[in-house]
Amino acid sequence: MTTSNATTLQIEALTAAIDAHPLDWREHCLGDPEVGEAVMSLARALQTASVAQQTEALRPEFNTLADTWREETSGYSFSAQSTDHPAYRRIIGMGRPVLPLIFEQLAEHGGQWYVALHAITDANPVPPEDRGHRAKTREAWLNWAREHKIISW
Amino acid sequence: MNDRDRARLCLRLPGLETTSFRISSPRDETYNCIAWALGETDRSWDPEPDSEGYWPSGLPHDISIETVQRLFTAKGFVASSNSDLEPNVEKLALFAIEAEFTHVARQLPDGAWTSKLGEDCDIEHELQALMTPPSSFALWRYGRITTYMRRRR
Repeated sequence: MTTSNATTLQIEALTAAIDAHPLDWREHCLGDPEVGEAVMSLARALQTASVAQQTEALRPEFNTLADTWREETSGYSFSAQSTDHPAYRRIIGMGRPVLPLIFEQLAEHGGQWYVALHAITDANPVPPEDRGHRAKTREAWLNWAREHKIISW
Repeated sequence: MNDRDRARLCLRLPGLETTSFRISSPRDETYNCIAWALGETDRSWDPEPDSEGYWPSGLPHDISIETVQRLFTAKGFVASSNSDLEPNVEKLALFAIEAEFTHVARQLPDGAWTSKLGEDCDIEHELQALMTPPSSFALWRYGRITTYMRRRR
C-alpha cells in the first residue's frame, strides 16, 4: 500500500468516526481524550497528505533541475563551485516539500545534496568524525529523514 | 573507453578533444581531486561546513588558491617552478580562475598526469588539456594552471 493510499484510508476512517459521533465533536473534544486524539490524528494526516501532494507536483521540475545540475557540475570538487548553480538554488527554493525527492536522489545517485539539506532543514545529523566519508554522511541523513518521517523506506 | 564516454568528457572539457587521454576509474563520489592528489580514495575534502566534507582544523574555510597551497604545504609539498618530470619527485599542478582554486592534477612517475574530475571519474591526461580555452563553451571550467608544487616520493 502506498503512503498516499494509507493516508486516504486513515482520513476516511477518522472522518467516519467523527461523523458517527452523537454529539458535536468540537464540544466533545474538550472532555473526551479519545475524540481529541482522533481529531489531532486527522489534522496530522491531512497535513501529511497535503505535503505529499506538493512533493509530487514538484517532481517533474525537480528531476529536470537535478539532471541539469549534475551534468553541469559533477566535475567540480568543492561544493562552492557546484551549489552556486541556478538549478541547485531553485531546488533549495522549493523548500520542505522537495525533501523526499532530494533523499531519493541521494540514495540512488549520491551527490552533493548536503548544502541543500542544511539550507532547508537546519539539521545537523552527521557526527564530526564522519565528515568527508560519503557513505556515512549519506546514511546519517537518510536515518534523520526516517526519524522525521520524511521518508518511509 | 567507449566513444560515448569520450564524447561526454570532451563536451565538458574541450581541451581533451585533441589530446590523448584515458579514463582510469569509474565515476565515484567517495573522493575528490584534493584527496586523489594526496593518494587518498576514502574521503572527500571540502572547506564548506555544510558540505559534510573533510577539512583540516586551522585552515580557513575558503577556496582561495592560497588556502589550498597551505593545505598541500602541510602535506610536505613546496612550490615548484615547473611541471618537468624529475626522478623521485611528485608534482602537483593547481588550477584556478582568478584567485579561486578549481582543480589539482598529480604527476605520475612516467610523466603523465592524473586527475579526479570532481564526483566523476579519474583520467590520465596531458596537463594542458584541462585548461579552459578562451571563449570556450566548456561545462566544467578549471581555468588555468597558476601553481606547481613538489615533494619527494
